Amino acid sequence: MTNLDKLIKAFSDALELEPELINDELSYGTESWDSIAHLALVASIEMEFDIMLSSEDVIDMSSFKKAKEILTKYDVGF
Amino acid sequence: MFWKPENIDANAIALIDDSSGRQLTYRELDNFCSLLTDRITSDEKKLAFLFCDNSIDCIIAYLSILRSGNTVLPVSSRMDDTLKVVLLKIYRPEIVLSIDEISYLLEGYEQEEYDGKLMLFKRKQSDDNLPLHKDLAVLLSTSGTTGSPKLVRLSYKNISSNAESIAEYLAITGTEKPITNLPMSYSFGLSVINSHLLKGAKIVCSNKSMVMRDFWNTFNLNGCTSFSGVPYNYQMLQRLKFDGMNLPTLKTMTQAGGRLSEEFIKYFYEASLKKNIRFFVMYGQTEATARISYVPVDKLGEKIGSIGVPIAGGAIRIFNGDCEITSPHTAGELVYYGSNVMMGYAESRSDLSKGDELSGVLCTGDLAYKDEDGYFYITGRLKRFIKLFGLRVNLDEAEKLIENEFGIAAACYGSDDMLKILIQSAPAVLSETVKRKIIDTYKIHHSVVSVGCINTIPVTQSGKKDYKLIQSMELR
Repeated sequence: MTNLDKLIKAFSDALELEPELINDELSYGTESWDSIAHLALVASIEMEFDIMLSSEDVIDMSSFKKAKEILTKYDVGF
Repeated sequence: MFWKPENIDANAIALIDDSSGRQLTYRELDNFCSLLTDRITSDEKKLAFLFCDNSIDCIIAYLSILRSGNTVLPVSSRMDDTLKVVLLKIYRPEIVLSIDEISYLLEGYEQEEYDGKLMLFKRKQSDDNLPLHKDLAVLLSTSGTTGSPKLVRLSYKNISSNAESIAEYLAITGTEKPITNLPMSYSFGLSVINSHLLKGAKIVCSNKSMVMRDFWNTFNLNGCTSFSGVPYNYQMLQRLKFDGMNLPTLKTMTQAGGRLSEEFIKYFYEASLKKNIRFFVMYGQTEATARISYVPVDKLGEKIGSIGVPIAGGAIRIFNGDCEITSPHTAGELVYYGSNVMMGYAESRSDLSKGDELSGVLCTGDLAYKDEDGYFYITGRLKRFIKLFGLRVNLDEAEKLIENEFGIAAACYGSDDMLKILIQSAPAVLSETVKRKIIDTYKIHHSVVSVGCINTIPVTQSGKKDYKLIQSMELR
């Protein structure tokens, strides 16, 4: 699995969305992405990539696109 | 009365919109309320639904309905359409105010011109109105955006007395600046608004989420002094490393809406000492308008895990059946006495004409004991419900829903962080369908629902589902 596949899987698991619906436009507050799903998403990403996100990054992760940007800081390339 | 507060500075800011920066002084708020009040006042007391978020206009509408002498049911604008329709059908409001487009759900209503962000609708046919009790001020759902159309009936006395008690123990003054991070359709969120308006405080009206940077930027930019949260909010805050967050203007944080684990209370207690802020652990029920008890800030360190002492004007007693338990460390049902105890429940429009059925006595269904200092501790529940994210899920109702929908026997149990469902002799594929049904109905995250299958659901000798055995099976 590529890193992109892994990230899509993390989003799809936490938000219960079909992978096809996950793209750069997906942002907090749309679909099933609420505060409760957000923490599930954070946990899901941390598990998928075996990292610990800082709290700054947790509150900045407002879209799928932003998540990719943040993950590059943790040496996860896309 | 907080809906027409007295002895406050009319030139002080009352409401601030966190996105547009729009501000209203108490005088301006009063003027806006008068405009809407005039539009909805009539000889007859009416029922008004308010489909709302936390924007300024929704607070204006809420206060205007109270001032007009009509009864208000605040409903989250995010509630599922099918549930909105159920409520509309059962309670037949004469007036509907909504922040979002709603006309497609309304039959037999006409929209009226109204110079505000809300839409105003009135029911065309109004000769068959069932009367409302003169004391009835507010209706609140006990389950928020989920499930049951059962409502709590609150009187003017209920809401004003609870606002006063809360303002007293929190020592709210006009210098406070709370942010509305909980929905106003939820008793706890509404109590924040009521108690602060009463004292002429400045309320920052926000629909933002605590897990997004935008919320905290708003908080700091506006110089907010307090926020409120249910246990779930505090779990989020711990994940955000609250003790390291830079919140220079924060002075007070309050917690209610379910049991926060001792580990979390300790974490936030220590953080509150470090940051020199007040942390209030509190207890309440929508049936008591909002608040029943609180732990005084200076006692929290030695009373971790306690729900504290009753609010001013209230009393708590512990009962075993009809027998009062007066000795400490003996658990029984927590019974609350106070002028904030609801008039009763409503399940139909005709229930809205009923008067006070409880006379200030509320059997909470929670099991509790007191210690030798008169501090109360909750040990469990008599009734079968759990609180997920601060919202009540009735386990028997959930069971009935599954049994009716799928025609299979089911047992629901669990704790405040997990709803567990056991279904009897069903194909494995059905467990996913059952899970989906529950998630959709209650609007809860899938990670807090689990479904298991079993050949036969264990029953007791009297033929009732044996929940004790079911729970213990899981431990094996």
